[in-house]
Amino acid sequence: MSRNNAGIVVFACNWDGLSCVEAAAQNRLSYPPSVKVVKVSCLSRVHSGLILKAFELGADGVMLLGCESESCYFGKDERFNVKEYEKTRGILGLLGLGADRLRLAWLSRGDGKGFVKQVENFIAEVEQA
Amino acid sequence: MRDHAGGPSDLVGEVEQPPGPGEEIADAVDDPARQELRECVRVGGRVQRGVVEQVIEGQATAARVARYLGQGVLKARVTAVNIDRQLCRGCGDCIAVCPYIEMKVSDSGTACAAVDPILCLGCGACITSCPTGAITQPVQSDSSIISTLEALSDRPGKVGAMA
Repeated sequence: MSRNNAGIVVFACNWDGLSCVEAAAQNRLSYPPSVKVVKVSCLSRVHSGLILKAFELGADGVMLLGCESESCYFGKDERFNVKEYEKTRGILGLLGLGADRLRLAWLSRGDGKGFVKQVENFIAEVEQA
Repeated sequence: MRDHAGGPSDLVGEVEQPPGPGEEIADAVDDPARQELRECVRVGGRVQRGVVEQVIEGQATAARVARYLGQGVLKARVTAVNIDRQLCRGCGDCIAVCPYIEMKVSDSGTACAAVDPILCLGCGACITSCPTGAITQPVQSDSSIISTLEALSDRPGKVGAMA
């Protein structure tokens, strides 16, 4: 497979995050084929080890895509995600990969356009870095 | 004995029934003057639901509860987590992220976390918070997520790699 764009792994939560990806498909929006979506039950399931594993396997950037805090299926506060996110950003900075290669995004349910926009912005930023 | 010769349609309207909750909702939805009842407004970053919306949500909750109670025996979700008593050292980090985990003291006097498998929704926040790896999930284990990542990666030579 040709790599035209930076490889991005998106950890999408099973609820609003994945619904954005599905909405993008249903609305026939296109995003680069280098974006790989991994479904998890909740973003709080994704720990720094899994994010670093994605980088080890060749990802140029990792995006965490989850629900807005008031619409979380599990009633979770967004600080659960932010804590692990900040920790992993620190590790990425120490490793010299660059903290900006990890991004956390919250989208409302079914926001396909928002997902494509976020992904394209992120790819552009990763390619510039 | 009741005579059914007239058919069921004759019986309709004989007894005046009080309107059920469903009809009240239907009336409120149809009435243009009661628009505010069904509007959801955003107040200070939180969505405040209209009365109609709340009643519908309540009925949906009652239906979900009835489904569970009708089973007779409650089964845990397949996503419910397991806590290994040998590995748990009782630090309590998981309790900070989950309302369904509690700390129990065993007969030998050591503290150990215990989860209510019926209530566990399987979000996996406790797995992330656990420093010893004592908490596992039958589905969506670390190894299965890593297998997915490996399958999606562009690296050649990996089993299941998409070339």
